[in-house]
Amino acid sequence: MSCEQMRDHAAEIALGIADGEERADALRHLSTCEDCRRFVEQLAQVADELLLLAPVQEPPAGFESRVVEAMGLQELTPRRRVARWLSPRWLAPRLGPAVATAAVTAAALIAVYHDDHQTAERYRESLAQAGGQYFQAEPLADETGARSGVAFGYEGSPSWVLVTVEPAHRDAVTRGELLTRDGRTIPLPSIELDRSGSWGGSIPVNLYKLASIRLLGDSPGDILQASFPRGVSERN
Amino acid sequence: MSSALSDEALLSGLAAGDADAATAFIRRFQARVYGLVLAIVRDEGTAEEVAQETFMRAWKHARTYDPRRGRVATWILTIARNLAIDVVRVKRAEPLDPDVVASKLQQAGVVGSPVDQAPPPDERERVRGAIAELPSEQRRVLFLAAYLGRTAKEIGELEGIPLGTAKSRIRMAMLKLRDSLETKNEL
Repeated sequence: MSCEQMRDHAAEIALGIADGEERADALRHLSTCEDCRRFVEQLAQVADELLLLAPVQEPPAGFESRVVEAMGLQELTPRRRVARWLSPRWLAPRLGPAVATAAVTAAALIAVYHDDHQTAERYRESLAQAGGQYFQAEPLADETGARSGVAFGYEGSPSWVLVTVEPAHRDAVTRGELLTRDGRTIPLPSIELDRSGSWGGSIPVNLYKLASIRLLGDSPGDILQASFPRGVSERN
Repeated sequence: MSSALSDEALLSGLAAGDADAATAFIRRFQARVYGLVLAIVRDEGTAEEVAQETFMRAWKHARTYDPRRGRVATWILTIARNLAIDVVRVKRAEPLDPDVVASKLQQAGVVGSPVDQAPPPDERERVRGAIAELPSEQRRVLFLAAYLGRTAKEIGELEGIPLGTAKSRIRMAMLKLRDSLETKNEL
């Protein structure tokens, strides 16, 4: 391909619409001709400018959440939820003032827990301030495995759990149960979700003995479950 | 976080699987990606699916992004455009009148776009102004090529003109835009 022929094809090359043969010939020529390369680069900048003129319109609400979920990068969700309702005002009537204070102190743990950029030293420091060993956030799933909320666990004295349930499942939840690693089932006779779909309370076992929490309803299929992998203190 | 970090930094975070960076990246580009895709596929449900697939592709191929070959915005809009064109072709949608896309692109109004999502207004106006100065027949082939990915052969068939004429109009339009933008940059 000559320089003259190259210039005839340059616009189509820059726009990405040249056919395969033209493109191959052009690329061969461009690999040896700096002038033509510069010419095509100028036209490619024009093509870029055209794309930047794309009309701007917001997609439907919740788009970003759906995409992040599809990517499997869901760590953000627990942190956001906790930030919203992990406050003394929310927790005190549920957990008692002392535990609520510890829980609020532990709020920093959530950021630490989910943020790889934080140092292990800060993680330990935050845990020490909260008087606990570790904090966990695990997904709640329905019988089909679909995500239906988040369960948080805090290892301390006492340990406690907090759950937040997606709107579609809130009406079905009336009670719950804790399953321990040694096979016991501890009933939670009455679970009343608040307007944000959340419920929390201290638990009669240490968090590292907790295998899972189940939220139940009146129908057999009303089961939401979050499993707690073995805790940090046990693994270490 | 989103307004403080560069496009490239957010893309690096996306490549690393950082949920915060992914969210910020999507927020920054979602209105432009969705807007472009909607202009091409003309169906909101399909546009959302294509926009989501665009970000999935960006996530999977983020490590292959080469800043020397263009801006992040151009990179992701190219992905969006190509996916939207594929969908339109697969669905055998009725040929889109380039004037419809042209009118959307020429609209100055920007609906609900955060400040950091769009190029500076003067830059957009500069490009719009340069396009407006093109003869209408060149503007049509330019939109068919740049936004709908039509080849010169397809443009010839769509417009009912010989292949040589289609190629010539594409070339003339691009050269005039280049000269016009260069002149405006110098002013």
